Amino acid sequence: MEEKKFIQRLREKDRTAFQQLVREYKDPILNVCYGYLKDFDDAEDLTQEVFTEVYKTISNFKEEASLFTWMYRIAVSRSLDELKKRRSLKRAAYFEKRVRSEAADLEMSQTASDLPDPEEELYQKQQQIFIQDSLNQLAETQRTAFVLSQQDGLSYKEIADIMKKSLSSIESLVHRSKQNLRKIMEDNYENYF
Amino acid sequence: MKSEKDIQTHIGQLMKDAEKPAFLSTSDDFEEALFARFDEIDNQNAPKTATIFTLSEVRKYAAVILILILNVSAILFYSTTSDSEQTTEDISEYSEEYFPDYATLTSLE
Repeated sequence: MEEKKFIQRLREKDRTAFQQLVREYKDPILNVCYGYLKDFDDAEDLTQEVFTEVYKTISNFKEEASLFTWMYRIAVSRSLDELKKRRSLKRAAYFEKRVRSEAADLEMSQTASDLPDPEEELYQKQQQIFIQDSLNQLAETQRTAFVLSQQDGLSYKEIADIMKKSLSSIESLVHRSKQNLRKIMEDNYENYF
Repeated sequence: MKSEKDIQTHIGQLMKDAEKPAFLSTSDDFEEALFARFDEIDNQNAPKTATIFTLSEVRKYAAVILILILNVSAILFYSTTSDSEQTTEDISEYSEEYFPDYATLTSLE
């Protein structure tokens, strides 16, 4: 009943209600997007896109799922779209961007004396890239189950609602995603380190 | 060259990093930027109206149009009435000229 009233206020474009919604969900949504994109700025931009979509389409929300589930579905769907876009980019351009970003980070770390060792920082970055590339190789459903299961407070039941799957299949997906991720890491380890 | 044991330990650590990444928070200006976007959407959706005439101009033009309508109506009324009289007179005149026996013929009926 309370949620119905809240949704009604959102439909009326009540700014106080939207402020409440944004404050409650901005960080969890950001973390879902980051789980896919592994880039803070891109994840934050995508979080803005998610809330903008909610603002635009709240009048079409049919309340078949909870508001929370609906928003997470938008976040997952937008993140997967963004990943598809990235995959379609030329590999050379993608690596060039990466190298430039790393070089800029390294330069910044060298100018600031109180920051950690640049070599150590680069190694940390390399590890992040390795994790991201390994995650990218997981099947889409496994990756979604894995990313959502990382979120604090997100139960398997909630993941099942978001992914429209049974509870047992989510348990199995999360388990398999971890197994496969480890195997992918083992297979590719020597290419990175 | 790392030993197999070292590799497995490192992968175990990387798995932990992947499973429990640091919880991130949005930047300080996140909300401000987002609500600016909402304003933009609202402005795009607002009905577009363009002012062609102000209310005083509309009143002025309405008065001019009303006076014109009254004048044209008066002229039309006058011309119609005088035309019909003229026409009756013309008919009588022409009928006498071209049909001199018209009165005789009609009187025979």
